[in-house]
Amino acid sequence: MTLDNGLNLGELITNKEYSDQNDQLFNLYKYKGKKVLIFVSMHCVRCIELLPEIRTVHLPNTSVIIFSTGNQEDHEQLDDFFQRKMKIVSLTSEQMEQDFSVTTHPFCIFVDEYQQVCNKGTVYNGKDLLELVSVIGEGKRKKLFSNLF
Amino acid sequence: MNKLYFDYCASTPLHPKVAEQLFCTSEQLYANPSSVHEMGFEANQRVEESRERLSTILHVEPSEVIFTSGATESNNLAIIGAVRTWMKKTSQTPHVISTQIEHSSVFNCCKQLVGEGVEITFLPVDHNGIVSIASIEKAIQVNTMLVSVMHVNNETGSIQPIHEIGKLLRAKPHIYFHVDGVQGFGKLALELDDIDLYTLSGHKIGGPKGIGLLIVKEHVELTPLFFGGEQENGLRPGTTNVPGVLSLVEAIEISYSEREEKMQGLTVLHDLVYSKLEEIPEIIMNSPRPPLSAPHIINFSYKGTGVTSALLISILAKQGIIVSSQSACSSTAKTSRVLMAMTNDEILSSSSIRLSFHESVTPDDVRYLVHSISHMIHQVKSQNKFALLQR
Repeated sequence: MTLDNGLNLGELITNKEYSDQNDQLFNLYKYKGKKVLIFVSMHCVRCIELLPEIRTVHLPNTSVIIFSTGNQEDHEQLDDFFQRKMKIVSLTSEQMEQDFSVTTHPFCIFVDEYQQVCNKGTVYNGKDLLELVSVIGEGKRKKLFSNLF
Repeated sequence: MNKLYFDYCASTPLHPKVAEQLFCTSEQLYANPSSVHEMGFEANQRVEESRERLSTILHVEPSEVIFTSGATESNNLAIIGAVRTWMKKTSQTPHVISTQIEHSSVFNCCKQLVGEGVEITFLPVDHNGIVSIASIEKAIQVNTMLVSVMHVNNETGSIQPIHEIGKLLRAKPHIYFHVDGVQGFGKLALELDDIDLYTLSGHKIGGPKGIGLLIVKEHVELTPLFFGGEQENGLRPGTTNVPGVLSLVEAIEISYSEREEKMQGLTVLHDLVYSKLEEIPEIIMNSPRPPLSAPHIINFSYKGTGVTSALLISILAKQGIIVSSQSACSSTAKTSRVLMAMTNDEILSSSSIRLSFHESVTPDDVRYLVHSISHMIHQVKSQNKFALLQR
């Protein structure tokens, strides 16, 4: 995993509205609880290979939101594939960089209930994803970002 | 699952004789060839013997053979080295002619020079991916000092008319002609008489990674990119990679001596695959057929929307088929620059697959390959494409 990409640890995520695969507007801030934001490009082999892995990972009390460079047709199929359990947002690579400082794919940002980035990294498979959301526990995180709590 | 590798343009396995050479020399010839003691002298002698052998094969002088770390370094040394020499000698802005389909180690090197005030003309290519002599002739200006054109395109296999370009430039001795020969060497006949600078990479021809060469003809003046010792005539300072040099020369000798026989086999495979793929209506062939293309590369695209190269590569990988789309050095790009130059079509340029072959590939292997591609195309059309990625 690399840490040289994405919003800084402890940084608040963007307070912005996005449109999901069903054209429903939603705000990340209104999404209660922990969130995993996964950034994928349809032109990246590692991202494509990550998609079936995401389906197999169970993340209790955590919402998964996929930001993808795909088009409507891609996202309809993806929605089907994920059995309509996840929000999928169409975002260009440029927008990913602008809103989340994400420049390489696949990339993942783990956001806590306070809308702060508590971990981030490149993920290639389900194991990486699980590691990413579990590597910093609540206590350790509070210590790391004590100035923010 | 057994894997069938069809990405030999990206890298090849070590030839068994080369592997033996690499192992033996790594074990035995560990002294620094620049050292004054006997062991250093022996290592140096072996390097110089290799240089002699190579110069005989390529019909150049031993002093014209410069060993480098690989093709990227050779291409940068040829282009930046020639430009810097020109800039030292004259106040006139240097002008370089290249093409839109060069490997990124040439293309991005030229783009870097644009930022430094160098004038670069990137010539277009036709639908077969071939640059015309007339366009080169037309692009020549009074300040043109270098023409850099690859021999064989690494994505499509299109063969560039380097010998004709060499003849054209023969009458203009102030213009150096550089050829990136990485995908052409050991595949096509080569004549270096009218070429001033020639790049070659070890790992594309059964040699090890981390070794390559640049042929620099006697009359060519280059400014080095690195500074240090006097190795490689001061053009490429740094401790000589003795096992790399000896293995590279072994690989070159093998490639050279077995070229015609290998090409016969590859031509048969190419024809078999090309003919079968052409029959699939959802596919468009990007590579021309030989003699316009080298017989070890076939590039095709999926015609429909919503199917990227990344998806096709992943689906084929699930069937044990290893392929690629663009050069390994630009594999995260959305569209292929080379295919955009040939087709100006974003869909075709973002859904391409490159198959590249090797003498070890059998007719049975390519039959399985064609079957797998055909099956994949059928599945992509009729099923949820992401469901195809499940194990």
